[in-house]
Amino acid sequence: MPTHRLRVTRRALADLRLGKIYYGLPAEELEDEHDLLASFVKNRTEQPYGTQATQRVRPKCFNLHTRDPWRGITWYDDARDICWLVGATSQHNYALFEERSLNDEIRPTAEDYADLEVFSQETEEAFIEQVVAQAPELMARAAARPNTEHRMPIAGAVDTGVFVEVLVVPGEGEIEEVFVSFQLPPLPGTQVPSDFCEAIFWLLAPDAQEAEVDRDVGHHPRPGGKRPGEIIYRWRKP
Amino acid sequence: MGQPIGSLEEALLDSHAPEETVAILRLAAEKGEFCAVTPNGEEIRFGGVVAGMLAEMVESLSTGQQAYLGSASAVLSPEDAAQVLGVSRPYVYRLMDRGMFPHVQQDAGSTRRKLLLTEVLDYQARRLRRIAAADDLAERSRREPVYEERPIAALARAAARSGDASELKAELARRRVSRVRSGVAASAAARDATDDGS
Repeated sequence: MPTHRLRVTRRALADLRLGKIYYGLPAEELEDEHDLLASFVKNRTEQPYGTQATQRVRPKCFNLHTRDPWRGITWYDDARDICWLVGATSQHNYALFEERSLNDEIRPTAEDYADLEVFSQETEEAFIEQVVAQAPELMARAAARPNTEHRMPIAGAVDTGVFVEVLVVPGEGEIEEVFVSFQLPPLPGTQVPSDFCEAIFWLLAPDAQEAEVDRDVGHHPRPGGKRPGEIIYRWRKP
Repeated sequence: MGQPIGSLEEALLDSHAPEETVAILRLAAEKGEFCAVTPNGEEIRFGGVVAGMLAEMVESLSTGQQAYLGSASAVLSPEDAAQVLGVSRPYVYRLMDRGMFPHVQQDAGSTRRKLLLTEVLDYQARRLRRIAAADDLAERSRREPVYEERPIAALARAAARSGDASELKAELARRRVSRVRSGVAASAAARDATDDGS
């Protein structure tokens, strides 16, 4: 299943005569705004590379067509797993891209990369403040009533849950496992930075030690198991 | 809907540069007094709030944005909202369906929906704030030196124990700057790779 995201650089948006209100939005949100954007989503969702390389352009780009005269070029940023629409022309004017390439005006700018980062910044900051304030109560509730999930909505939308599971292992007595799970609102095309997930976990479980923690846990002991898009940590308490 | 104020040329008839006019109006707003002179020489005195509003209007128009005069309860059709935001009508419907405008109104017996001007302008302001934040982050990535990362676990533990998350948030913000910088560096490396497809 493809994991890459689809994004449009600020320069390409300007080429399409689309205003700054669209900066940083996932391409899937913009596909009704222009035929070339619809073509971008249709042709690059499954496969981030195209079939026809753009001539005399660096970095290596691929042509993107529509039925009307609009043409675009895309670049797959494998370091970030993002396919970018990096330029567009209404007149089959591929010379424009050659000229831009000579001026190093093809690849995404710092502003384009920054657009990726601020998309969830407000949610993240509000989330951290509230986790700090609410974590002790949530963890105390979970410890008092194990084998039940305790959930708390944070920052208006984000759902955080703690599940304490008490296991009896032959020869070892009772072992406590704490599952910390959280889910950000379904924002298409966004990616939660791993350091943010780490921060949330350690705020909720400050007494955990590194060797006791499993990340990206694929299951949850609650009925129904893991939910789509959920991030789960497991802390095996000694 | 709110009354659109067409263009800078229509709004500002004198020869001052817009920036100069905004500065004069902001000064009048600070002083709390503003005096307008009609073509036949009559003077009308206003409070500073009026000068502040005019400053906002001239500044918006001079930076290419639309300016509107309307009451807080003014409502817009999706077409008008699209015009205010500079987006297409289908995009406004998409935003409505996602609940971006919480108080969409619908008259009984009608399928036409109306949006509050204030909610449309709030959405616009939120988007513009995020763009300004991205511009700032990009600038920091160019200006700030590369720094050594601090361990998230230790900072989060300290925040959980003290109740103060400022150090943790600052570290996450510095890491955002680093990610912007590394994105730019990786794209430069891809540009310089020998296999350029040409």
